[in-house]
Amino acid sequence: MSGEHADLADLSLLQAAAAVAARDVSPLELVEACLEQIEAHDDALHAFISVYGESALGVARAAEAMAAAGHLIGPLHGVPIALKDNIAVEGLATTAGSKILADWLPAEDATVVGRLRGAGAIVLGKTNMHEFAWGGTTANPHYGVARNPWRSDRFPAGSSGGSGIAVAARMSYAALGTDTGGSIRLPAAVNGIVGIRPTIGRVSNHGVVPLAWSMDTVGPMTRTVADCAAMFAVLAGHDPRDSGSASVPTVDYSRDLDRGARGLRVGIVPSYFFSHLQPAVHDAVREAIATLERLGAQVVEVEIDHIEGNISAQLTIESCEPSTYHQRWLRERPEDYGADVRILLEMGELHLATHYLQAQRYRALLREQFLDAFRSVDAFVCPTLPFTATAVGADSVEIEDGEEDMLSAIMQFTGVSSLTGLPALAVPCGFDADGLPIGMQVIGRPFDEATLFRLGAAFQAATDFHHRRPDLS
Amino acid sequence: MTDETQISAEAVRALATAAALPLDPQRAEDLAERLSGWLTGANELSEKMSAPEHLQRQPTATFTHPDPELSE
Repeated sequence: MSGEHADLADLSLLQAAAAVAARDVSPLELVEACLEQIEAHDDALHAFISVYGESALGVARAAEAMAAAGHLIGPLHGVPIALKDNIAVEGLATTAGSKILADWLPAEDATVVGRLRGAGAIVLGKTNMHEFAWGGTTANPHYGVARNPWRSDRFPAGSSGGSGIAVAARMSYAALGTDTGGSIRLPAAVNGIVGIRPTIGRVSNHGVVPLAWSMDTVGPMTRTVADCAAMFAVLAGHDPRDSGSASVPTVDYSRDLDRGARGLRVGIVPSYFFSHLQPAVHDAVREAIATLERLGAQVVEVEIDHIEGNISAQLTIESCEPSTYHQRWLRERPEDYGADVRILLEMGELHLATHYLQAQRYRALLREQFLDAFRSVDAFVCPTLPFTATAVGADSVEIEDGEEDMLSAIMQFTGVSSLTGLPALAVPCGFDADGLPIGMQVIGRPFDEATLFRLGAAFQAATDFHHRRPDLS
Repeated sequence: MTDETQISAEAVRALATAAALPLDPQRAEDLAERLSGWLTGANELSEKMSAPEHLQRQPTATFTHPDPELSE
């Protein structure tokens, strides 16, 4: 990295917050460090749709004055963060990566934005995304094709691709993403960072442009598991403005970060989790599980009889619900959609109601099988996706024999928790021969995000994958 | 397993008409092939979920309690 504040940009979220609290670092310096990285690299990577440089500097000056007076707003006081551009910010463009919402100025902040501001975080800008979150490449036709910071000819995945890039490339200490079929976990994996999809209902969706109502979630993307737990604690909790919000009490999500993996039972589904994936991904995730075993975890093999079929259910639900939301625009402004999203929205209109409802009933079946399996395991571990970052612009991928449709292939493992509503944490667990990151996914019981953070933190304490950073020179 | 569902451009146009979705002929051609694959999977899932052992199963998308035993 270059620039006056290069070392500051490399701090973790918690390190940055602690440095501000100790008055070792000014919020102004943190914002400047991020803006330097954005200035240096965003023309090439296209991580951001909007950057609020002047606004962020102004808030940072105020945060600096407050810290000097001995007053900290909250645990993220003075730390810059980025937001995916489908999350509403009062009075500022929230495009959802689309031409259709290019001029939309929300009347109020999304609940998660209010919570972050209430914790003292400074909003740096809005990140690039797959148009309306309906896709996994972030090859956005309206705001620029996003690129992977580890290799700029590869994709950053999506739909929260810009958030993944921003965190990996040290443009932000953390970012918010949204996850319907894997849109936090996929870019976390291919950009070498951490991200969590919460239990459905745990984090408010109020003020977030929907993709598929019954599966949409919001979650943090960070460089360490400890950062993820800290940011999650700010976001989690009941919101009466979200009809899907769970009224289940929150816990201290960082309470078990130092407890290690000893005694935890880690479930694997060998017939599904370790077939049909690239060898490098297979080997890295197997080695990660071996590491957890060495740390004292017990590996338990489990069969989930009905796990096959989950991709079809995912595609059906994720087709029909967005097509419902977009029905008017698809008739009035079809040419304003990118070609890939337009055809997906048209396909969603051509399913039958019985297809949709059978897919919803399948979710209940899959969920029952996982809940039953949680009698004998504490968490499942599997790959986050079956391949490493593919070429920018590709709409197919080679995994084993021949090319496959990208959209179906990319959701092989993330669809399971999207359908069941279970929480899932993506953690870096290796690199392939080209130096591209590989991620593992830890799936937990409902509302038991703390155990996922415990396992992830134990893994990061024993490995250094999360300390590596892309060479942007 | 159900047979592969073959959707023609003509069938796409009929479905689009049912949905009051304007669709020019070329788009119907483009949609037909991809939709065939997706609806084959959807029909397989429908067959699975129509089995007698799943007859009483209701759609559920949320959790009401952190204890899995009580969430069902």
